[in-house]
Amino acid sequence: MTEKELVAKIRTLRQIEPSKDWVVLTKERILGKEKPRFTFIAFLKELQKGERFVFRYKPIFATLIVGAVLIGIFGFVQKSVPGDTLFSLKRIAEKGQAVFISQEEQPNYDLEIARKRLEDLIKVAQKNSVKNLAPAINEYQANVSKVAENIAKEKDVEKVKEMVLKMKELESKEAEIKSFGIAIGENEELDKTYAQKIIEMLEPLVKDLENRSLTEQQQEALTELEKDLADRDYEEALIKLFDITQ
Amino acid sequence: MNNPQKAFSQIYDQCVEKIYRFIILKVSSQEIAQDLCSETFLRGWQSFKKNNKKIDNPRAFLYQIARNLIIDHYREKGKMQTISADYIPITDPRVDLEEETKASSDLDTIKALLANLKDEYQEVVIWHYIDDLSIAEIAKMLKKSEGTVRVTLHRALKAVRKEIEEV
Repeated sequence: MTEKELVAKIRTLRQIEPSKDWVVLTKERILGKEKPRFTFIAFLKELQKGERFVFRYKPIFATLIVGAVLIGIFGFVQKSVPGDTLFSLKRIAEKGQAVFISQEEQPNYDLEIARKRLEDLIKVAQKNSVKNLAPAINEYQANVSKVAENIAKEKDVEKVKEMVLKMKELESKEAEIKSFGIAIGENEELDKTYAQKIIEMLEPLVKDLENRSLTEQQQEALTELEKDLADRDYEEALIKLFDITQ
Repeated sequence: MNNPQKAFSQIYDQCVEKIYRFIILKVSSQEIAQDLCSETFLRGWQSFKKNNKKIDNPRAFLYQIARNLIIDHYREKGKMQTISADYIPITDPRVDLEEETKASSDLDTIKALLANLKDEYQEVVIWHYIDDLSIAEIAKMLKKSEGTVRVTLHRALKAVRKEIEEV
């Protein structure tokens, strides 16, 4: 036997190894249990262990599950339309948000809600969901009424102008609903109040304009405005007035 | 590395197999090897903490502890044998060797051959050929010259060869 062969034979003793469990346990006994470093791979390995993993990270798991459920509910709530079970939650959330909004911003917030209800109504019309139709129309009307009330209460002409323009946008979108053959009823009492408010605002301004010297263009606009007033298209008349005074 | 526990943990991971192998090649059973090995690391860890990590060559230090523990183990065993001398069968260790050879396992054979060598031969063979320690490192551990270690290693190999031929 050559020296090389002899050494190779001796080196076979390298196969002798302590049992892995014993190595780990002895280390723990001497040094205490080491806290494993959190790595993504270690996390995946733990995940493969299944049940043990769940028990080890119980609080994290519970938080994750509760979080996932809440996110899921939130998603469904956001997608809900009037007439759905979860819609009441959506309304509560919106009312909750309104608490944090200042008095000055409230009319804008109401306009935003009215716009959302109109979008809901469009969705309902597109899906042809008969069950949701009546609640969606009622919701939209209620919100539009609130906006009209806000306009009627407002004293600042600039703010009225802004709100009227936004109301006009909503009205133009209503045409989309009508294209589905759906009629949105009107609140006559409210419409009267709203119109009265615009008339109150318009009359002194129009009188003032009539006494002023106007350019040819402004004069033309004033004539059209007076025609709108005669036709009871008060919103249009108000917008024209703003154009002249600008 | 500031944490002594972490530092010693690394030393443990690097040395545990070598120290265990060194011990099991010198004692008769796995249980004794495990006991002595864990005691080696426990004492090593205590010294490591006490000396504030200032141990030049932790591996050599652990081998030294293991050697002392093995010596103590045989000393204890010797005492016990004296106490119960009436019951100890007087056997030639070569009989065990023959049994091992019959087991037709190369690993067991070479293990048995090594067990029959003198302690100093066993140690240099294990350290140099199994644990890959250099002659210089062995010389430092044994506090002998490199030349002496070379001669010991040469004689140890000769002894192993002789054992094999006799089998």
